Amino acid sequence: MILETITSETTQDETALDPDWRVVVLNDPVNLMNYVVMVFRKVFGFDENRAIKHMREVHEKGRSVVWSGTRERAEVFAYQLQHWHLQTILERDD
Amino acid sequence: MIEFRLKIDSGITRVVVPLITQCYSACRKRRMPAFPYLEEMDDDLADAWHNSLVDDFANDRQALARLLNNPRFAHGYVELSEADAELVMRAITEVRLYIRERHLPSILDADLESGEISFSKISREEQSFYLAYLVLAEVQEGLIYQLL
Repeated sequence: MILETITSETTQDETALDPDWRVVVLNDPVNLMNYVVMVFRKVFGFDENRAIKHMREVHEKGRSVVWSGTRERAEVFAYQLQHWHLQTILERDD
Repeated sequence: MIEFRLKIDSGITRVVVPLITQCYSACRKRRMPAFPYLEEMDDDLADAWHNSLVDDFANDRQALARLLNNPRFAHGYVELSEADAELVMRAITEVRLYIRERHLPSILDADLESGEISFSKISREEQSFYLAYLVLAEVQEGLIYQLL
């Protein structure tokens, strides 16, 4: 994946000082609930219960923070989620 | 190899395959997902992000084309390699998003999510695209069941 190389180059000097970043998935009316659960399990390795908890949070509250940590890894996760067509944003974890 | 039969009348599948093919072809013109950083913009990263997604989405669509081009699909049979399964699931999501944006904009999110849509209240064209939307969901459900 081209993007992983680029994000690695652009963020490797920043990660030590950067705050954590949150990967946030937003609700949409199209994706099936079990599709969202499957994507969370594949991308993050969540067990079924944790994946369902985040799916429900997305569905009921409109958004769920599915991961937080370094900017570099947050970008990789955000890219994967967008590739699976889940609406995803990155927020600074202040 | 993954093989299963859709629980949908094959007459419906035959009707919607041309619509799915039409939407699949148009998907490449669909608006790309927004760059995920809301507070800052790195143009180089945004371009690389965009271009990489364009390539990955095109690769996924090719797998969906292989499924649609199989003549048995129109008769309700899903046959694809395991390597294509995830790609097809993503491409189906893209087509469903396209159908929703382009052909079903008048339907409320809540109604679409609950599936409580009155056929008599939508146009014939919307009915056809909604059927295509449902058939794709059925394929996706089948694939998820096979993979988990």
